[in-house]
Amino acid sequence: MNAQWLLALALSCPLAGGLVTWLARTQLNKRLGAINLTFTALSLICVALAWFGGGRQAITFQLPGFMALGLNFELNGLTAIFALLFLAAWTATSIYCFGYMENEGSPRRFYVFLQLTLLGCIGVVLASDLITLFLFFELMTLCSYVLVIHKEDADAMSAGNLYLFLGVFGGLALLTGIFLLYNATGTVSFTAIPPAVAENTGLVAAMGIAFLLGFGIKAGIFPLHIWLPKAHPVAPTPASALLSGIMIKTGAYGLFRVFYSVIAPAGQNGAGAVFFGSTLLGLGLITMVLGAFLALQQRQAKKTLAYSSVSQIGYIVMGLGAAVLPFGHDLYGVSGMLFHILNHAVFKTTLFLCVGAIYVYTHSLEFDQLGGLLKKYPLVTFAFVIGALGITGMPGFNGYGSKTFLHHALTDLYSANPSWLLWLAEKLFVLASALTICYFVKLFVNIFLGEKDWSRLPARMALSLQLPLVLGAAAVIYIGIFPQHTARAVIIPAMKAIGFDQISLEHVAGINVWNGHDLSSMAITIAVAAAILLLVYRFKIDNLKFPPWLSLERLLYLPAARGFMGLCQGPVAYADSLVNGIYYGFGGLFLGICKHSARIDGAIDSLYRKAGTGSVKLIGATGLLDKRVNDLYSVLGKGSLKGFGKLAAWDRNLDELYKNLGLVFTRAIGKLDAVDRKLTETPVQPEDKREWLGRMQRAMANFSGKISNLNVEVLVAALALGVVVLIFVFYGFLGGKMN
Amino acid sequence: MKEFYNYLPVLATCFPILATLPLFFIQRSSAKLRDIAALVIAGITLALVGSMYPFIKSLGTIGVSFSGILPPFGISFRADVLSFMLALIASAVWLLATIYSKEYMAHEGRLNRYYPFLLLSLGGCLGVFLTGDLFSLFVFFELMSLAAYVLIVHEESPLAMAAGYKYLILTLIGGLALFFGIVIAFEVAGNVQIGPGNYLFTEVNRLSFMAFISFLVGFGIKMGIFPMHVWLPDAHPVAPSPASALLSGIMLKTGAYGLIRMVYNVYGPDLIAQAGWDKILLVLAGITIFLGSAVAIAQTDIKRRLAYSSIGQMGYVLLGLSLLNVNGLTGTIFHIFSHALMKSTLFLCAGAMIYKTGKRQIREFAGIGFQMPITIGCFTVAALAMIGIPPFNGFISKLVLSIGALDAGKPGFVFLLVLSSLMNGIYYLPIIINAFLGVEKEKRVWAKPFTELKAGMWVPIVLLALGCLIFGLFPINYPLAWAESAANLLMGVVK
Repeated sequence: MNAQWLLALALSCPLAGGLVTWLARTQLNKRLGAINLTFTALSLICVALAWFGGGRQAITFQLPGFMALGLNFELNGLTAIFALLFLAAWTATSIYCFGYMENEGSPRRFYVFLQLTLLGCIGVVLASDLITLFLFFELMTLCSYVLVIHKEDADAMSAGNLYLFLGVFGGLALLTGIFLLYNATGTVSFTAIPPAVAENTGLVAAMGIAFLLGFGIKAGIFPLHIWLPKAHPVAPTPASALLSGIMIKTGAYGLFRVFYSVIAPAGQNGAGAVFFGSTLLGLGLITMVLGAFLALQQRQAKKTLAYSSVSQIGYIVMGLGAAVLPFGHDLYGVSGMLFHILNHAVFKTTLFLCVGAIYVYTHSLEFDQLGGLLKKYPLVTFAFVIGALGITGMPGFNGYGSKTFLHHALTDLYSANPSWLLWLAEKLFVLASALTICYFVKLFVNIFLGEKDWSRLPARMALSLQLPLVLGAAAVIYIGIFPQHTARAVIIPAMKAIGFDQISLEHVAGINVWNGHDLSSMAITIAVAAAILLLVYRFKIDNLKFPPWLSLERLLYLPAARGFMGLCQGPVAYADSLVNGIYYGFGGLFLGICKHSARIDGAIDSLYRKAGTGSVKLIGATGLLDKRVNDLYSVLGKGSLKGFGKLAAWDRNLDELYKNLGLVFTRAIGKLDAVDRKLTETPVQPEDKREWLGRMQRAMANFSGKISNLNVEVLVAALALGVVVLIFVFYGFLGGKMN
Repeated sequence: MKEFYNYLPVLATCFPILATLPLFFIQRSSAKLRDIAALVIAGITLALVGSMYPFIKSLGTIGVSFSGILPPFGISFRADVLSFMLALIASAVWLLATIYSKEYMAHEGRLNRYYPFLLLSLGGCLGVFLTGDLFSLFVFFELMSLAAYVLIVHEESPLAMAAGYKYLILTLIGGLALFFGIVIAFEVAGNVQIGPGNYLFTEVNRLSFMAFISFLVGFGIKMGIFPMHVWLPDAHPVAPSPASALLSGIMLKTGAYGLIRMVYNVYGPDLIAQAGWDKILLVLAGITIFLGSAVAIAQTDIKRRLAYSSIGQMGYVLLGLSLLNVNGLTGTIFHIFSHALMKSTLFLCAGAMIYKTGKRQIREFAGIGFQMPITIGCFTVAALAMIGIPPFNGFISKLVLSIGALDAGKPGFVFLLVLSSLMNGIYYLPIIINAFLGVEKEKRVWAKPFTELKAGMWVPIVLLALGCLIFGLFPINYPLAWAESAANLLMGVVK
């Protein structure tokens, strides 16, 4: 079959598995677990066939147009190793689920999201560009949330919330980084940024910090690790094992791809390489020591292992920092880091599964309630001891190889650049390794040694619980005994895929960890561990009581979260209601103005009315006077009439005389009028009434109708004010009513 | 670009408006017939809009104008790819909301008033999208706004009346401001046609600034951008849920559409950039995004939270269109489309939750995922899309918007978008978590899916939620291609 389609099949297996599990009409753990195991193993087989069957050639698979962005996958030496590692661990854990998930409840939901998380994880490592990586990264974050809160008790929910919000935050930070990178370079593939961009230190710093936040949260490096010790222990053990053993590696993988291949690539000794190299190295060292120290303080098995994961991620990030730093050889850092990712996946999964197997029967993880299990479950004890020997880096077990590589990276840096900081780094490395030994001694003593009555427990463990432990322990021993072979089979192809030349590869292949120098440094570590154990025994430094405020959560995260929520619920909500209040306030103001206007109007009205009344009275008085005058006249008139009677007779005679005179005059005037009419025969013109209309029209034509010629401000202000007053009158009316 | 004579935009706009008349007579005889008639009218409208597609595809721009109606402006209709895309999503969501209404509105009553105004506002909304000049746009804008008032006050409770009054007054102010701007444009340019290259304002002066502010107020009030958003969080929650879905999902977008036309057709991106007025828009967008998302966190009523979320999302839309580049504009148009799907889903789901339980407070919905698996499943899809989680459509719009912001050299807005996404997570995720997880064992009994609601309610919800998924996932993403070609057309980029 075509290798490309095998790759596509490998990716679609978990999706199909999730779908089938969801649709399966059964709640039986056995059946659902069988579906889960089938699809996981199928995916593993597909990847293995595609890689080994295809003669270890790089294979690409594209899904153009998916989400308008396109998905791009590539199977090469590096990604194949990661994908195979993830799938192998997932398959082993899937076997374990048969025994473990019997008594956990809601198995269907668990398996559906287990499959989807697997899809996210392998998608992240198989992606050949950052957008594809991001899509699967988000899928993984959201789906693994459901695994974390599987128990749904108060602890799980609060741990889940922290996990989810930090996860979403990390995803967004990652997206920001991708945007910045895309905008600067026009590509989202894992290629080195061009020197022109690398010189823009502000941009590179912003990009680097965004990526550091995005991947760092998932990897759990200090100070972004706070979710990890809460979320990993509350999940069901198979999920814890995969979260700790596999999922946090996606963060480390992302950091590696972005910082090593893109931001601070080999050969560019820019400021970015020094800055981010030393930052990663420093954060890695702090994470190593702090994680190991806090692991020593725990009194619960899964919490110890979770802090141990934080500490081990510190090793990996430190190796990455050493590789990014531009002095010395980067091959030690890269090989050590890759080797340690592999080793940590193997032994941390094994250790979690050991603890989980015990939990299935004892229902407890507290040190106070455990102990004396050595004789009861020798196989678990054996696997646990092997895993512990691996993680502490004892010669002959797998951790020794990778820790030696990492130690080489530090000493190589120191010899290239002998600064006291790098000297201190080497000492911190030893301290962290010694602390690792200490907390594993504590873990082992508390769980397996001592005397306790466990007769109520069944003598035999379920086979499905034991088988993955044996596989894990076998892998620890195999890699431990043949570190060179592992390096040749696994690390060299991976390094070849990211562009190391043949000389470097041969150098890595030639590293012999079985020499006196490395063994003696291991001996020093053991001696330091013995000294610390003495302190633990004498002064109980493994059970320090820290004041509750002395935690990152209390010091940094809670105040930041509360401050932000407070900002949202306080000032911003207040600002919003303030804007609303302003609207109502304006309404009220205009209502008030209108009320006042109405009052003035009333006053004017009453003034008119008063004036009217006054006038009426005045008129009445005038009428009275008039009447009096009238009376006076009439009295006077009556007196006069008598005198007038005599005068009238005389008057009539006079009248006759005038009439005769008048007749004479009328005839004379008639004659004159006839003469005059003949003289003025021409008719009189009527006045032109349309004259003023024309003038008006001319005036109108001259008048400019353009608004632009008017004083715009005044017009606008008048109109706006008019509108606003009008509107707010009504608006305010409402406001008044509501108040 | 040449316009081709075609009556389809007229038909699509006028059909629902005119159809309210027969509906008025039908509903007097039979309530059942009325429901069916309303559905048929909405369906035919969708078909009319959809039938424009071949013409749009082959001819580009189609339209017709009637200069005799309402002189001196006249009424004209015009559809290009942007108009078509928005009209299509509007009529599609309207049809789904009408289907949903049949079940949902049964308990609300007053259906004889509800349906005609629902269709009237559809006609107004399509009119806004499909007109060819600013004056016609204004006419339909007012029609839609007034018809929507009746939908908002449907309950006639004191709260609804108060919210409706606020809406009405602000709508009036907006309408008057818009009209003022149109009059100035007519005075300056002599016409108010919308068309590529036909920029009505060609110089920066006080008059054009005055018109700019008038348009901004007119469209901004409808769109709900700060500080003109005050009516929105009151009006959207009190309306019946299908109407809320349409108000938030579609009608807000008419304001956004108007602003796009204003910036890219009335003024032209070059003039806006030269005058520096894009900075006004950008600042308003920034405040709107932050304020909407932040205040949504403080809300406890589910529909109020969704309404504030809409304000924040309108901020995205405003941001994209004020970036003045192709990617920003593509993001805006695609986000208008995505948000229509997402917010309608959310409001219809919230309506179903209220319908089923009678509760509105978010904390009262603990464990509701077990009682209503389909509804809450769709709610989850839409909410994740809203946060911008891949593979849903909201992610693509945020992606394109962010690229637009970076193209414009404004990385600050990328951080704002990211911050706002986180805030969306803070207010949406607890609803989902609360619905499915952390529930006491005895309450964890799954109801049989698809029996929780009648088909009339779950079918529209499921279709919308599927839209959120498909238009995010689908390899050949039609709306994104349309948004891109619309953005190229508006920016004057020849491809």
